[in-house]
Amino acid sequence: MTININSFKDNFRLYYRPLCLFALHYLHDIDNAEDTVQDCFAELWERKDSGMEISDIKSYLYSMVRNRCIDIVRKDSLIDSNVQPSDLEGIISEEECEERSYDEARLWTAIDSLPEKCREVFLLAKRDGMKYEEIAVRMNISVNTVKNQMNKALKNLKEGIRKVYMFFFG
Amino acid sequence: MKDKEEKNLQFVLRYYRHGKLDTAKALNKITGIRQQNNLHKLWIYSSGIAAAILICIVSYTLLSRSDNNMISVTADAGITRHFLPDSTLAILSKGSTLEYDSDNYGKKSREVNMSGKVFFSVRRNEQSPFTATAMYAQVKVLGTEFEIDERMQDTVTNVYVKSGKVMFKGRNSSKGIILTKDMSGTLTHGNEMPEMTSTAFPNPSAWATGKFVYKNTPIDAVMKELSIYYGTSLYASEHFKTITAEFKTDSLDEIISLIEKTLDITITKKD
Repeated sequence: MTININSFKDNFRLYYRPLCLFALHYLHDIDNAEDTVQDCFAELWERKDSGMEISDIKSYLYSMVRNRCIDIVRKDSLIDSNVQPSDLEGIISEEECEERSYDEARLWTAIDSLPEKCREVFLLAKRDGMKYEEIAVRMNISVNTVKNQMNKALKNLKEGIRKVYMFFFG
Repeated sequence: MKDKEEKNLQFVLRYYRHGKLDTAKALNKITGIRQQNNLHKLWIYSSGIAAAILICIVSYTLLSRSDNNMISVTADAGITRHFLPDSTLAILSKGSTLEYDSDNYGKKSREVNMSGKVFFSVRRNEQSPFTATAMYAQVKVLGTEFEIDERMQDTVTNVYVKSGKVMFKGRNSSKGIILTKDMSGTLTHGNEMPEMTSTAFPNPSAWATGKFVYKNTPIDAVMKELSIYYGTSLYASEHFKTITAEFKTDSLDEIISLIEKTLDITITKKD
């Protein structure tokens, strides 16, 4: 299909976050990942007027981002020419990386749309590994409130993962 | 939550920042850029020229001053140890030289020029790659121990890597070979690419490290290395034994008596 303004915008909304998460598995830096994905979309935007046909825009975008990430990592590392994506535990395959990027984008969106207090409790507990008692002291709320907020957060996240498409439109 | 979801969540949380990855904002940024682009192109173009001129002036003033900050080390008297500003150690063999700009060293990169034979023990720093440039060859590393031998001018440059990983290439070429622990490479002057060579001796850098380290090394290989290092000829009475040991380079006689006792052999010395 050819790219016009509307299809560009649709694809952008659909794939922007998953692509950022995908790039993050290569670059491990959120600012770099976001810049890289934006560069790719900017290039696509430039090309849209040329009437270029792209049969599968999703894989086109994913390869574009992957190639750019590999270039960046190679440039920085000087000698390691074998660039592979990884998560916190180690190297993962490219297929897994692409597949996971959707789920992770959904999680990101779900966390982003939590109510502020609820999100803060969730991040302190899950990301920073704080105990409920510590969070209660820090935020000046009761341990019970912390527990309630945590339950709410986990419930929202689970629902968020189910509501697949809604969450691409962050 | 299931294990897979937990893994995904941990990854997301590691990098999560509220308000980041704002799809709407990013979309405006990209589709907005284009509309302003033509208006700004001329301005960007002319400001680019202005910036280039400014860079020329600035770099000229900087370069004309920077001569004062070049540090040169020459090993006239014998083996010389020199610590670079980032505590990278350079050991120069007699007659070798080392030169670097102390103002810029370690800022974005660490660059040194050298001649002769120099052993480097580079402090690891991924932000600032270390590059040693000789007359013909160039070696790039992140952090490792290696030696460049360019004493044989107009013939070959030898590089030996004691630990870590380096990229060895001709001074002006872009491609090279990668050497890791205990590997050697040789660049024949006039060739584009260096070649991998087998390391002739177990301890090529003993002159710099002051140690011979042997791990199940055949006694004949040990005799050969010691003979060349001390400029004498050594022969062992048996040939099929191996040795695992560490000796200091200070005294050959001590090394000989230690080997004789541990392996129960005799070693003869012929000058």
